[in-house]
Amino acid sequence: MWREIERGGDLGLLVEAPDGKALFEQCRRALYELLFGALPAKAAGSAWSVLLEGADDEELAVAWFNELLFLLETGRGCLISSRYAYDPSGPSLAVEGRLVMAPALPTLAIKAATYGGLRLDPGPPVRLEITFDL
Amino acid sequence: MALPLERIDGLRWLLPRRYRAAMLVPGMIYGDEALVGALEGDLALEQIANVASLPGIVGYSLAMPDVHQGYGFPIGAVAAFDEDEGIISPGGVGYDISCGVRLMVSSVTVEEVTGRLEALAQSLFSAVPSGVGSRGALSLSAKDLQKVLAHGARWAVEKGFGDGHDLTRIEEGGFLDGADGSALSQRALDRGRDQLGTLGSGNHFIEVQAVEALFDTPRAWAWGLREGAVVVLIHCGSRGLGHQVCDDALKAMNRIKGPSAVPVPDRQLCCAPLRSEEGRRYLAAMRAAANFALANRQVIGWKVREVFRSLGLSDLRLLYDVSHNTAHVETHVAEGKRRRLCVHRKGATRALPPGHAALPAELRPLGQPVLVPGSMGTASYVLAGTERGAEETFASTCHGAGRRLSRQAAKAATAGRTWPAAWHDRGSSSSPNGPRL
Repeated sequence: MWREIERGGDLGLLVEAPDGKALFEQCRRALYELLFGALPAKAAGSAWSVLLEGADDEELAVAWFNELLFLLETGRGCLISSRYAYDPSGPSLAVEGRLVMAPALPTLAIKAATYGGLRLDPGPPVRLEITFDL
Repeated sequence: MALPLERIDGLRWLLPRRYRAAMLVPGMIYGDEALVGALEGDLALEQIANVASLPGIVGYSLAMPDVHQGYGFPIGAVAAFDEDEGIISPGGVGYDISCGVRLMVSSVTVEEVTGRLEALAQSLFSAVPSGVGSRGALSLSAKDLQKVLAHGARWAVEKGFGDGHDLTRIEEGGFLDGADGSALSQRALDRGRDQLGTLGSGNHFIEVQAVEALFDTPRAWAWGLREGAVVVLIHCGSRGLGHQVCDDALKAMNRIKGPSAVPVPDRQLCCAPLRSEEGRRYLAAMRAAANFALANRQVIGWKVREVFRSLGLSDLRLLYDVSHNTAHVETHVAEGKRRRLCVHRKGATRALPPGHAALPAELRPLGQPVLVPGSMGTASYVLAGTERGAEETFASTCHGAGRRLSRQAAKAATAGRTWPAAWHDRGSSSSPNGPRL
């Protein structure tokens, strides 16, 4: 589940998931649905992977959104499916997935996920409040 | 709720040190009653107090009339830190490093473009890629990108995007010394490689304007501004490259341990001593990103000139180009003595007074042209730097339109309306990337 929340002139999102690992998948879905609408059925795409590290889960969430925005901005595409390996000791997040071309230009211009007003409630359910610079 | 401010005079409001124990200096807000009253419910006051608590701050934590909450520092913030004992903060510069404005003046009259606005708008839209992730104007090799990061607008002029006179009308002569492209991450370089000469998204724009009124005719004439003449105002910055430099620095500074660590109440406010390795590295990277922004506006300005030429309109001359998201190490008189200070201006414009050595000879007698864009469809202003401003605000002023509505409130207020319809009613032509807020 995700929805927009009030963040002044910027974009705020509340993302909710049953647990920490599911939260990262929900973040991916939220960003896609916000920018392009409903997620398409799985497509072939090209293999892609990344390892993200953070000082804590909040930083990891910011890094994950910024990774997704980087893929879009540089024309690499959208992550269409993904598998996650979350290690809470770092914490770190390893993601494998498949990239496809973005279905259209995103009409909402998001520049970066930020630490402003960042809040992660470990739950359950896990709730992330995050602000994006537009 | 009454704001915790003491009124000094009609346009100055003090946030006293007693507001919070950690404050090292007071806050000072510039604005009339309406502007300051609008701060109620905004986090800007807390952010002004946070900035006032950072080590090495000198004078006041200053807020310009367009202040509103930002990330870490508020937008519209000016804060100067001692070069030896102070800090540098990426949150005090902002994500869009060296975002700024350039004004190009012309002798083209409004009558000459009337009836051709649509063609002009479409030509500009074609010549300058815009929108999120826009790219393709120029694709730089790794070597050329490093030259851009080192030489800024000078690189652009050497490549034929403009002439030597342009460089005299850009702050710092078109590039910041002390930039280090090797301080940028590969990701920052990847983001910048294809983005030079692109406008980007958000509130960035190219606006064709008409000079409506002159308030100081001799100065305006000296600057090439004539009533009824067409001018072009460009607003953009360092694109994804600058964002990545900021993001990388936030990560690095939030992880500092040991003597260089500065405890802060907000991660976006993270900082490092200016003399620390992390501080020096950010300063060098920030200058490189600023050079990218200066080159970007130079290339865009050249493309706009080409569009005007292609339509048979006379040439555009650069009046001035100035950034409003920067940190410059400058000399100011503070607390009775000349000091080297790292002046953070986030959503604030440098405004050098008449006679300042950093101004080119032809602008020095009249002071720096200060460019203040308005919101879409409202007036922009060209001001001049003053001695009083130099003394009170480290030679700084506002940077343009502030924020009166939250995004969600604006969505509600504009539901069912589209921008183009409203614009056409006013006789304007525009090509926004989309009506969505």
